[in-house]
Amino acid sequence: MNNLYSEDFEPSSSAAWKQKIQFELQGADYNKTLLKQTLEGISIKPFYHSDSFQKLNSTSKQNTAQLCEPINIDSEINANKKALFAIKNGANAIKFNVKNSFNSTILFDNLLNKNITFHFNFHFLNEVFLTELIQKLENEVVFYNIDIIGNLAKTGNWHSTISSDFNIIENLLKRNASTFILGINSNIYQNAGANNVQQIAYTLAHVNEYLTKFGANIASKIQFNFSIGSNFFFEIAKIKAFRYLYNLILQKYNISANAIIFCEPTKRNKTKIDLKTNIIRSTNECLSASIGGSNTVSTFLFDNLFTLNNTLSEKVSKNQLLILKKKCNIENIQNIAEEASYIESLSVQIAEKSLAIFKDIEKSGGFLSQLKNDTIQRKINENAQKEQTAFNNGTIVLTDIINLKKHNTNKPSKNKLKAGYKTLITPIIEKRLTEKLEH
Amino acid sequence: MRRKDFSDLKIDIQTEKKQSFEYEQSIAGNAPFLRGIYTSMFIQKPLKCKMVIDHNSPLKSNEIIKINLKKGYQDFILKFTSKNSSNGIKVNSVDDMCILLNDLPLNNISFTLNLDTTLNIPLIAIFLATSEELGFNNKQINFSIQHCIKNSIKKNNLTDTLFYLNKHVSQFETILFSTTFSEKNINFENTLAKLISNISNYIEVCLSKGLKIDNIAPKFSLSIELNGSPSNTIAQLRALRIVWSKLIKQYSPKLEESQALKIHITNSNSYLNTLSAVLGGAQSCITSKENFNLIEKETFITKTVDPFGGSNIIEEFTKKSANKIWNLITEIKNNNFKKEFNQNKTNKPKLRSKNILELSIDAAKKRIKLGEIFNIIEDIE
Repeated sequence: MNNLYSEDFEPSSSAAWKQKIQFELQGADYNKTLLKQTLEGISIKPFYHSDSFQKLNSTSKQNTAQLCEPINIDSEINANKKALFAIKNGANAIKFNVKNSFNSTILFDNLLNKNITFHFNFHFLNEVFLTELIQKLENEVVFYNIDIIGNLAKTGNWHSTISSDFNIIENLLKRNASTFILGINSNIYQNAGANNVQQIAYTLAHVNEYLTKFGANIASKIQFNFSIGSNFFFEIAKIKAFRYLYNLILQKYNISANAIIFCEPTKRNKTKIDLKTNIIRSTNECLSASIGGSNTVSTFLFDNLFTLNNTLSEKVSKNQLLILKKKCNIENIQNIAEEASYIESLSVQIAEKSLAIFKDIEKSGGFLSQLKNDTIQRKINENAQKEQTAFNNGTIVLTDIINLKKHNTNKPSKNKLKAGYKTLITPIIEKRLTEKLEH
Repeated sequence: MRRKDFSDLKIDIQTEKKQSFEYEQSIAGNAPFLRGIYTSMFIQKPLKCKMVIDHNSPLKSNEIIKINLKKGYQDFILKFTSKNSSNGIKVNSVDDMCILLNDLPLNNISFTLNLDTTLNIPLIAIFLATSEELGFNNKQINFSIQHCIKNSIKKNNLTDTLFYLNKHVSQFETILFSTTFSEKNINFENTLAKLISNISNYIEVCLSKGLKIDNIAPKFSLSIELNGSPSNTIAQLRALRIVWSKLIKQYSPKLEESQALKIHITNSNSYLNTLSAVLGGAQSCITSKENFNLIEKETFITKTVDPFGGSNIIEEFTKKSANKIWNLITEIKNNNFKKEFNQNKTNKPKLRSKNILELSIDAAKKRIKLGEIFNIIEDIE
């Protein structure tokens, strides 16, 4: 059985492969024709062969992923209805985006004790409200994703003051040691235009502020929220690289922990042009997230981008969930990237570059310090500008917008985006690539 | 807590795989081609996005082709009506075909003639006669034929067709052999094994008529439906290429390319199937330009060959699938051999003085209609 191959065929090497390609190129430049440079400074080679195999020496493994539906709480009744509908269509996790405190009895009506995992994204920090909510949901698996540093980065301000914010977290952590209180909202960086290497480096530096402040015992009780972009294999490699690096920095605390990773499709490449194309983009991104080993994969909330009526909104939600669950089998494809030469090689390169940036940040006083002196914002802005320029000159393509671009010659704005209110630091603001074209 | 010093942290790189497979030492562009039939695959040879044209009226079909040429499509599958089905383009003569092909840049389009029933030589003849009448000589025409193995081919017809096309239509691409696939994926490997065994019978007929394997194998390809999850599909496409390569090697080809299997995907009209077709290294699929553009331009998936190569799961699936298909083919061939042996191989196909496709083209040019051409060649047989 095993010699089906060897009885007829000879093994061959990457050197032979390259030689054969060069022969066929008939003098054309190998690097120019066949290598693809990315903004991370990593080039995609035309082939990867097992004779130059390399991978991160990592032991952590993730076997099944949960499928999550994001829901804005506009009213408790509506949000509850949407959650029940999503569960019916295969979701086993729900993420609530919360702007104001809510009535938890109405919101969770019929949702408890059903083996559903809940995630929150709070736009405020209210200790009394949170304490009550934690009590109400004590028998459920819940990720509260409270991230005061992320909030500072995103809005430019602390919720209240630095000391009050940190005090509230300290109290919550003390009283609820086994609960997932903290989250690292790395999606802010991706959605503002940071590249994959920067995202990993900033996420590590970001979490290290909490580890330094609260101690490493919280390491396994933090959830990392990533946004996933369109470069299919880089996104898989990004998650693998992060898992490895998180444990590497934890070595300094003499502890190890499996990073808990939540992924959602990026907003950056979404357009207001064609809903169907955007659904395909987000499906693709969810597929990357789950192959990369994300613990939870979330669908995209199109209601924020398109004005969808209830029927269409439900249809889009159902369609996304069913495709991911039934057709992509996203809950069980975690291991297919294991030891694939290309993907493992990318993980190594991303990890090396991210670690170097992380070390720089730590050496210069840490993430908060670099946020305060605008370094992180400047670096993200630089990459975002590069991406925008590449989009404007056609190197980065969004396929549903090509026709629109022909009629629009707007140059990218070089001004920094500013929040419309007074801030302590420059906020890191989300920006989609096509915003200017859609005006 | 004091800030930790991370300056001495180092990444630990492992260069040995936990599991290794013999297949992994293979490269694309060399037999058995499991990683792909071209050395740099889609970077230089993009996947073809085919569109099915099947409007009953040749005039309407012609309009649809023109509209889609403007959208960037270049590859069309022309589905014609047949004895079994009234779905498709209704063409009975060179005049009808002239309407269908009117004003089309035939030298820049590739057509696949989907002949639902038996190898429809008169229709091929009408197609070639028409393109010549429209000012395109046989050397400029790029076309393929799709044939479902569930319908029998008269052995002489196949060899005559291949012989004529190899000689006169230099851009004749391939005969796509297809079959019917069951919905439920129960016997996917069995179906593929039967399909390949059938094709190997055709190869043997052609060889027995004096054609060389290097003129046969490169002109045969598979047209299949995808089944199952992306990981299964990727592995199955890789496995098919190994099996094909091994099969053709038995006929001692002089050219290595003869062992390269071209795979065409017919049910790829969803984004996911198109994705699987790309990840599995197929050559064409029936899909929308939008789906493929998104994969090509936005995801960077086509920038490297066989991106899942080396994955323990994919390699394991590939190995299992290749072994299963190969063993089934061996089994089928052994049974057939016994049957043929018992029948005593005396009734070899007779050689004909005139090529049947050539005769049909002559007839088509004389404005003889499809049905009558059928009668003429029937008499000859």
